[in-house]
Amino acid sequence: MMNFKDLPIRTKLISFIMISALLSVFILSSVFIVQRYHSFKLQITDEFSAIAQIIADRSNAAILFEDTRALTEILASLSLHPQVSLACTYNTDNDLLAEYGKKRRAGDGANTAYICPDSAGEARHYFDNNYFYISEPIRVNGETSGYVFIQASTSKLTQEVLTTSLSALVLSSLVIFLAFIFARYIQRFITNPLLELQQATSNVSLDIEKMPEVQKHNNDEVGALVDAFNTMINTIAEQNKIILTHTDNLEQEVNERTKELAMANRELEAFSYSVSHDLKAPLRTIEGFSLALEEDYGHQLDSTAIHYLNRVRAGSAKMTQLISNLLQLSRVTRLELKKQNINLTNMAEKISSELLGDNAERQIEFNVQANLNATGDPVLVEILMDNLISNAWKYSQKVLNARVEIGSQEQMGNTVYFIRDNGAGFDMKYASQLFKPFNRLHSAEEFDGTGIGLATVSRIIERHHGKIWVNSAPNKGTTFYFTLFPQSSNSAEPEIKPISHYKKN
Amino acid sequence: MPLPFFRLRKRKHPLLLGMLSALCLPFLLHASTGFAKTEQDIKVAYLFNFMKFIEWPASTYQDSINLCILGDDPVNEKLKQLDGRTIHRLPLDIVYLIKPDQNHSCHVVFVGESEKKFMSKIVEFYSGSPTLTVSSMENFTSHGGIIGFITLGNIIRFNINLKQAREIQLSISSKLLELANQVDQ
Repeated sequence: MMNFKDLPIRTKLISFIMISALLSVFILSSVFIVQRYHSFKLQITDEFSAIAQIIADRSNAAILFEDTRALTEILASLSLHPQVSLACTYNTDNDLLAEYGKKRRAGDGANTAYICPDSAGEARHYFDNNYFYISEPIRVNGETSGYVFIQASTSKLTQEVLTTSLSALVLSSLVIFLAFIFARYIQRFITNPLLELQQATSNVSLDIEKMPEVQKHNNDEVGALVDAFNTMINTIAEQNKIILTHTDNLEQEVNERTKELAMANRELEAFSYSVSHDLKAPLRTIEGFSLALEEDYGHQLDSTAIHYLNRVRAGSAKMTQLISNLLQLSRVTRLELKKQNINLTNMAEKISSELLGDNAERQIEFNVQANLNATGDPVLVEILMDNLISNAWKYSQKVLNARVEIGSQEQMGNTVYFIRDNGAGFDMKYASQLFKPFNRLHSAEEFDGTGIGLATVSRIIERHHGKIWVNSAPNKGTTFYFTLFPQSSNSAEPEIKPISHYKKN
Repeated sequence: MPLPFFRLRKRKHPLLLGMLSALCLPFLLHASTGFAKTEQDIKVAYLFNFMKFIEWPASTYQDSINLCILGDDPVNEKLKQLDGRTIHRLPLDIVYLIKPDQNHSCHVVFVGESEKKFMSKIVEFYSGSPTLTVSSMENFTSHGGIIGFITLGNIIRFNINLKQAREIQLSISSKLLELANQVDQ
């Protein structure tokens, strides 16, 4: 059987009305029939009590004189009443003195008579099996001299109940029929707007361009719903329009920006080219001729002049360094990424030995973890490692027992590489400035540098979809952490505590 | 106690039994009054019952209903039983008369068979007062008596002289009249 909850609203509404109508009609009819039945029973009781009293009263003299003829005549008058089937008169000894009985048709068709009971019993009346029975005492001067017993057919009662039931049935059917028509008519006011609304809603989901408008029929809750729906649809339509316009604009904008970007890239390339070729050439001239001046005329120059010349040479060297760093930064951005396996241990050892070779007098301990492997572009990763190790080297130069540690640790399923020094360190509140180009945390007098190195590092990390973060404190060293092609981008956050084996300086 | 044959209820041949019962009716009626009931018993009961259906003028109801017995009769002995019974809410007094009472205080006068010779005189004596005269003597009512017992075979019936009763302002219930064998009007 279908679940009632799944029936259409129309059916539900009609069902509700019909069930209420059926219930009320049923209850009313039942009450009506029962009431009719009882009142008719009461009527029968009253009628036959009266008859029995009349008979008893008329019989009181005859019973005293035991005149059976007179008693029989009195009872015979009951033949005028069609319902009376049997009447009997008894004296106080329960002797049958007179009787009157209708013939009745038995089941086999033979006529049999109703038979008076052995005694009338005391005064009482009762209904039993289609008959009403009454025993009425015959009184003379308040003294009971006998009883009249009357048996009356209640077929009229049965017929009355039947007639009442039938008319109740006809009337109920009429009411039910009217209720059905009424229910069908009434439900439209609720169902039709809902159906329209439902239709409109499904149209919305089908066609976003054609926004449906639902007509409002009545001012009830459904009407309010229709209003709300129309408002909602209008809002959606407007927002849709705005979104569509925005999407168009956005695409256009993206295209424009892409073009601009491409142009900028080309300009940058051109700039890099001009820097590498056009700027380097005059710089070489400055350097070459100042070297030539020092070598050829150094003995004629006093110490102040020599000092100036050295300053010129240092400046030009620094500029050369700056230009090559800038070139490196632009190359890092433009170069095609090659994904390979890299042995970071070898790379770090090579870089550190180069640094030691250039500055043999530095007391510094390099500690490189064995079998440090990574995936990335070998050229870019080397630039990255070079910059970070050089940084560590540079900022630990004023520390005794300088130590640089290169290693890795597993964190959230990713390999996090680190390069740690026990150098100058910095205040973490400046950490956000660290990876921007030309931003320096230390003065050139304190530590020389171009301010491009960490910007380059940051670019390389970006191209490897990794992350870089730093942990530092003034005079307590610095640790750079980074990931290359991490499994999940959110895993590596700067939550790592400074590694414990830092020594206080 | 009812007689066994009176209890014939389950009739298989209603017609035959009906005829039989019709034939036996007089006897049955007599029998139904019981073993112990003699003619005298019946007459006493009847006399008592007559009083229930007869009303005297209101002024005659004093302290008691007086049943006076005049002369000798077989019933007399039995009439004593009625002494003290209640009728019309008054006690019944039995009064024995030697001759008709002069002050007319009797409600009922039962005239014994011994007074047969004086029947006409007695009846005449009471023809001016509301006195119910009852007797077993033949033709009592035709001589002016109010109620007279008669015997029809085995049954005891009674005649009523309604005309005379009306003259002396005795009111007799129609129920009683219905039961009478003969009513003189």
